[in-house]
Amino acid sequence: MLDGDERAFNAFFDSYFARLYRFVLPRLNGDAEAAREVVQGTLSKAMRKLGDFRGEAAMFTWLCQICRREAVDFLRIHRRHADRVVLIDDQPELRAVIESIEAPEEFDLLKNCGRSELGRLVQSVLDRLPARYADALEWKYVEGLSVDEIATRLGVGQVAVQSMLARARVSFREALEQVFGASAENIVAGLE
Amino acid sequence: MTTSKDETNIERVLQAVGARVQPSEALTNQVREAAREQWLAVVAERQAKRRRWLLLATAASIAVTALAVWMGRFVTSPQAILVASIARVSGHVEIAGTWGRSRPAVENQPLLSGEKLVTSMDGRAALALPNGISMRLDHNTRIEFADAHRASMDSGGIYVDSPGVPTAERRLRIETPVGAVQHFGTQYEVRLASSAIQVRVREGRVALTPTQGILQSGIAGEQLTVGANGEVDRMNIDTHGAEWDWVANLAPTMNIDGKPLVEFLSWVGRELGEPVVFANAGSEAEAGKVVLRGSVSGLSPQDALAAVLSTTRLRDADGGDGIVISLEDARR
Repeated sequence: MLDGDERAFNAFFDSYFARLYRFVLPRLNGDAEAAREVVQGTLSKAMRKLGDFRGEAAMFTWLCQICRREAVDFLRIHRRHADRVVLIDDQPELRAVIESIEAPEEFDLLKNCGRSELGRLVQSVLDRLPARYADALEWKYVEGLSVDEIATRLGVGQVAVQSMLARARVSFREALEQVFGASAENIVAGLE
Repeated sequence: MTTSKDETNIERVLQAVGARVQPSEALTNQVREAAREQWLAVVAERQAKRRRWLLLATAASIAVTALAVWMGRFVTSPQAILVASIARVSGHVEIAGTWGRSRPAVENQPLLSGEKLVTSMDGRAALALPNGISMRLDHNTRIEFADAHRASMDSGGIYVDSPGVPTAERRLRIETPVGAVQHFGTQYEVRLASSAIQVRVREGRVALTPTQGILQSGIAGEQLTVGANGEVDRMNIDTHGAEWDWVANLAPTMNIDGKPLVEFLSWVGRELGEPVVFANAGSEAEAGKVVLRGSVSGLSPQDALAAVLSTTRLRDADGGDGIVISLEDARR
């Protein structure tokens, strides 16, 4: 991307922009304009620092760290949202969990979180999966698209989509179990 | 694997939480334009920096060549030509000119024909030949190049790595008091000890012409030893392991910035003498997606491998068939 490849830039933007927006929006009381400003600042800063970034696996985590600092700066400058929202996943122990997808044994989210908080956490977990996995799962199970329709959207064959969905389900199920310390079945019970 | 019950539960979880919030198209376009502007500025800055470096490097290279030519009038024969550049130095290494003057060898220094490169008992060096051949000198080695294709070694041990298809341009003849060695696109070590020459072949094929006796050919995984009387001893050897560590530790650093991970893995495999294999299609696909940033300067290939893989979802393990690259356990 730093060599000037426009396709690489677009792929980067498409992969991370919406996820960062969703990451910061609830931390700014749902203020869409503030979220835009913070994400824009985050991406500008990331562009300047990208040369120092090593590896691919933790890219979103790295961007979230920048985004979190941008949000704090934004709030300090604008003095808006004086009651800055402190989300449950901003608690250090849970933040580590979500960033590394590794569960703390003593923290029972199903007991400590309300339904809407649980729902947002599930979506955070979804955003930590590779973007294609999360999109495919959402298209299939929330929007109700067929495998054929997903294949058309992604420009790949049906077999590839089925294979990707299988991998996405495994990744999502494992990530849920690690974050919540509970099976998908128990999480459903907490959500319904 | 997920069962149909798992799938149903996942479906129920996703339906219960609903679709994730999507930023509006107008907002997305606004941020994309701003980020794109910043990206273009960073790209332009990097390209300008690269051009400045290139200019500086060219100027420095011209200055070094001019200096070398000027000094060559005093310390080497008039026909001295550039035969290699010194890529790495470890411990004490000297260059002895034709008039017997010695000076310490330093990295990036040119080596001219007629100059003798001498490593001490704690010294080692790596050379980059203009034709792409990499040469490493072990302790107590003395070598002198007649030109880029012919060198004479009168003590110690060297390792030669000539990657790719053998060509006339990449020919190299190593002459010793006991015999001469030529290669055919390969990696091998030549060592002199107790009036005998020993050739260990890691890859490809090597021809050894003893001063006494008939031409011998060694293939990958073989060690040939020819004594002063022409007696030949042949045995099988490992192409990787502790005996080759000195070679890997002298490997010139690979510039990984902007390079695909697979290219880096291929370099590691070549330096360590082990093929890199993927545990499955998933790990191969993952590796294919990764482009590296940063530097592994100063790290051996083993350490560089560990450092680079720690920034990815991939891990390495020693397998019977080489270095096995697999996806890390998501539960860890």
